[in-house]
Amino acid sequence: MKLLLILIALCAPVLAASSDLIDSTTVYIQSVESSATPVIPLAEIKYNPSTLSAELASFDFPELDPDSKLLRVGVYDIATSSWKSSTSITSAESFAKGYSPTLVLSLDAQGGVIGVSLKSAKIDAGQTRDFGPKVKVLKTAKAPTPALNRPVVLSPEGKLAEPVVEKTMFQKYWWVALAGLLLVMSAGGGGE
Amino acid sequence: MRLPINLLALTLSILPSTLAVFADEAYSIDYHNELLGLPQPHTTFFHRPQSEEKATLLYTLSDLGVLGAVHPGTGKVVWRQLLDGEGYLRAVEGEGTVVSGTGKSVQAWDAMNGREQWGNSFAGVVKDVEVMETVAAGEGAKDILALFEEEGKAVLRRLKGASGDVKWEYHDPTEDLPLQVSTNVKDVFVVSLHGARGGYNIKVSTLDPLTGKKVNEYTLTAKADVHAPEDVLLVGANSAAPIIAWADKTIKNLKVNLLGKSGSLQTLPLKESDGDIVKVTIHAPELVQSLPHFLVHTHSAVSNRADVYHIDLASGNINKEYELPKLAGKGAVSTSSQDANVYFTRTTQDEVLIVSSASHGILGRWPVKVDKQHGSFVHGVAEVVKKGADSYAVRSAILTSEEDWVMVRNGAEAWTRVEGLSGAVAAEWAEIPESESLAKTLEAEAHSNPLSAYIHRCKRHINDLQYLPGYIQELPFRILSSVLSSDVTSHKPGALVRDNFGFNKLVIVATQRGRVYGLDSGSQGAVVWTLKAFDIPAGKQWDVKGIWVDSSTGVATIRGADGEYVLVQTLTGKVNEKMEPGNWPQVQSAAVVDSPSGPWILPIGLNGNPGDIPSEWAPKDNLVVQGKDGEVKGLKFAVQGSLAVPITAWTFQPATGQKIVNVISRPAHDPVASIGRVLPDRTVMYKYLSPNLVLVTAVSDSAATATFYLLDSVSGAVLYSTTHEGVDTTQPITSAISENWFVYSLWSDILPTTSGLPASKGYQIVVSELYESDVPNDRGPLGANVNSSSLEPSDVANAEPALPHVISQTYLVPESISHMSVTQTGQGITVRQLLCTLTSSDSIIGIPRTILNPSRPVGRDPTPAEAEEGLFRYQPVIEFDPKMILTHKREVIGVKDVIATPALLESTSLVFAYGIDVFGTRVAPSAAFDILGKSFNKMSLVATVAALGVGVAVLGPMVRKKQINGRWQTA
Repeated sequence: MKLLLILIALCAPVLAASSDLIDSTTVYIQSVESSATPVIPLAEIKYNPSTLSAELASFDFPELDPDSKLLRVGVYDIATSSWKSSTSITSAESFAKGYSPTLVLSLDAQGGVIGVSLKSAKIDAGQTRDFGPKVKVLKTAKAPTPALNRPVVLSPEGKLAEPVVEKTMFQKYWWVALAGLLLVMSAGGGGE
Repeated sequence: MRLPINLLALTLSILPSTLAVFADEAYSIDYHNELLGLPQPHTTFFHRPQSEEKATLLYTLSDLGVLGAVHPGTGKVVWRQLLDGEGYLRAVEGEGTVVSGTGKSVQAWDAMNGREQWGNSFAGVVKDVEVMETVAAGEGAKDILALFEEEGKAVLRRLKGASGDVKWEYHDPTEDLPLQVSTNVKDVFVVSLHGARGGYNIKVSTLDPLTGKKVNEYTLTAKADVHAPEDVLLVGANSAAPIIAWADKTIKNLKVNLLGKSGSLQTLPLKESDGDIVKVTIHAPELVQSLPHFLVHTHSAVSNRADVYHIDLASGNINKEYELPKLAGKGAVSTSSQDANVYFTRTTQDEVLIVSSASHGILGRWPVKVDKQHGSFVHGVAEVVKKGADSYAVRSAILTSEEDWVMVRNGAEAWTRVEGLSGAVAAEWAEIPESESLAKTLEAEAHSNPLSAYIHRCKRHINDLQYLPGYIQELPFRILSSVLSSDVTSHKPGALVRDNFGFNKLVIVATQRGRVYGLDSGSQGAVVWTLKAFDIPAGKQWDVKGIWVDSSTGVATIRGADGEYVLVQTLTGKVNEKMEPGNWPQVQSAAVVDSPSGPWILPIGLNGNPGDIPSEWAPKDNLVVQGKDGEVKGLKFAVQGSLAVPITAWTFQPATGQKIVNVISRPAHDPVASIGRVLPDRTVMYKYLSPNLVLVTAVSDSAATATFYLLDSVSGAVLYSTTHEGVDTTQPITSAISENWFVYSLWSDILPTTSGLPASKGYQIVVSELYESDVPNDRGPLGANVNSSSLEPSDVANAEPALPHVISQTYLVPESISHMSVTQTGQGITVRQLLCTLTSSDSIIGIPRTILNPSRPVGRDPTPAEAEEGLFRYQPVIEFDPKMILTHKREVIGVKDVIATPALLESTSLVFAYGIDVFGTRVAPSAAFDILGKSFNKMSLVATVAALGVGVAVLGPMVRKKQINGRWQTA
């Protein structure tokens, strides 16, 4: 029962996020070695270009020709039979048993797709239960601007505003200490 | 026992990094050829910069658009100005001014110091510039006539000599091709070509010099003879009787017309000697007071001769006065005027002789003593001085067929300027090939059986004994010279040998005129050899796609765009193999690749297609090329039988609306000394060190953005991308990548969205460093792997794709950077320097990496721990400190590219810059920690040791005696 609650709690952000995944794109793969091989859909990615959250709407492990070693990954336009985005390559081993692929979707500054890449990693069941394929979104970052110095602020008299020097504890409360000292001194001299 | 490289790197980072070119090193470690380009026959002359003084300077406007004044005595450049391309140059006689017309503008320059007096730009293109001579002297500055072509029509403007303002304009209503302008004080003549290309008639319009109104116009029939503007041989300059001359189609006759006399078209027969005439030139004086004489110089294939003609001013008749006999070979004739006298100087391979235009008597004759390596004389200018009643002196600046500019003074060579070296389009470093014989012998000994090897070795040593006396003889000189000489690195000039520091290297330079030079970086960039690789037609440039030097054989391969290539021995400049242009397919680029049969330079055809390659020569690695539409492609070679066929593995297209302007990768020699960067808290950030990084620059002109994409060249994956808004895409955008960092520079405007924050517009330089993870002491998805693949699945459990963690900082820089490259050292321990070419100040700056460090603390002073790691406070502006300028006081113009190579010393990198000028130097970005500087006084060291030795020798016996005495006396 407890476990189920935790699971729901874990899934909640994902469920909440899926509602604002406004864009989607379909990723295709093709064998590199010969151009005659068909281009087959691999996955459908739903993503939000501003929050960069994404999920895989579908993912089909492809049935590959055993001869093909390298696969081309990208967004394909079936209507014009051409690649719409930049393509990248990955090894056919990526879809082998014991490995879990991660798709990286690259977006430009406006949220358009630049390209897709795919890389797998070994599954270690000891660390996680989430074996499925994952998706990650990279967006073109705005380059940093020079970190300029702040403008000088002048007082109405045209002078630099002098920062008020914080008084130390002793400067503020010296009279307390003095009073204490007086008390201690005056209280002295018990019956001897 | 190896010295830990990290410890050394740490020591180096503590050492203060040098920002400076030391005063005692300037002009000693660096060299600079102040070049002009090839002087043109019609824009080169002697001229007095100060009319009251006799001294003249030599002025030229070269084929590269460099206007310069050269001291005729020394051959040193007095001043230079870089103008926009070829053009016209005239001296204002009697005034210290020269006037140039290039591109759209006419400019007047102070002839003494090269300062611009005025400049004026117009819509059209300058076709000719002429000085309007005045009848009487002292009427103020002489006006300038400038002929323009505006929308296919001729426009003549008279510009005021003092200000360059327009006095009047004349617009030719017809669409005739403007050719030249000429004047004889009374009238101004505009000569234009009427008709279509392939057959022109010559139209001469006479204008009133005061108003610019057309007075008269006549046409000369020349359709059969004049096919192109070049066919008109001469439109006479400001002589008293300007002429226009051209040769007929078969070069049998010369047609001459006195400008302004419509009826007089005279035909002068050209006398043939030794077969057909191949070239005719006409030489006439340019001064208004000169006698109206001219010389016709004719060349046949094997000899040359000349005729001198006089113009009768009263009748307008042209009569042959005398002729100069035929002489074998090629020769140059030049005109020189002194008052009314006109002298012709004829320079052939054997002798220089001067004649007066008035009579055929030879006034002076000298044998030519000029180095034969310069080749034959092509054209020149001369200055004749009458020293006594009949003693003359002559000096002529002559361009030779080997593209040297030689000053011949009374037949002897006074100086030589290697002007052919200007306009370099490609260069590459080459090691001086070492004699391989010893290495081969040693190898042979190692492989044979011990006894025979021993005998062989004994024989070799006995044989070597013959060199011993010489060695012993030389020994004292070597010791003395090494003690006395202040510069440890100096070596004997002329000897092309490797040195212990690796400073002596060759640079192979290819120029746009099809010439190849070998320079010795160890002896101030001296020319070792030169050769004309290809004849490049006039108006075209040799487009060199790549130079590759095979250090094992000492052969440089130079590949051009039209499929041509040449294999040159780097030591001697001998051509091993050559393919003329046009025989092989066009080449888009060339790349040095590693194949099973060894490295070679692979030509890549149009649209990034290298074509099929024999499989044993197929590149081992992926190839990154640019396709038809500029897209970046990764090619893989698939072996099919005996051939390897390129397959497009991946394609990179930038976002819509962007076009790729630049693709760069890490240098071939880019060693990394330390795999991490130590943070102030003694944790380590691991560097993202992929050898397969490609940085792509894409710009969008309409959106004014520049975007930089970092790709993995194996998989084609986009690793990182960043974009700038408000970028002026017409300004230079340059980038460099090395180790785990990349830099780029651009011009950026203030964006409206950042109005609340302090913002700035200007040139920016952005530096980014790549790390494996954002967490210190953690390699992120790469785990403990030594190697990782871009394609194969990762063996690290549940790892994400290895994307770099990028930290960047942006700085403002004071001027635009037109080119960037990075210094190289042997081990990469020395901190790198970014070499930036600054066009507006004609210099090259070395910015240390310690300044370009994106980890510098912003808005606060560094903590002591940070300061210990070499970090200092971020300042938004990088001032170009004059101490960082590698070219110090030198003005290096037209730099296209800067190449660096490691020396044998780890501290030092050799730098070579080329373009119009040639500049070379050595840089030590972390100070020269492994070599003694000039300030080290060897004399005092030797003297100290000697003094100590003397002291020991004197005191030793005394002490011994005292000790013995002490023992005896106490006992």
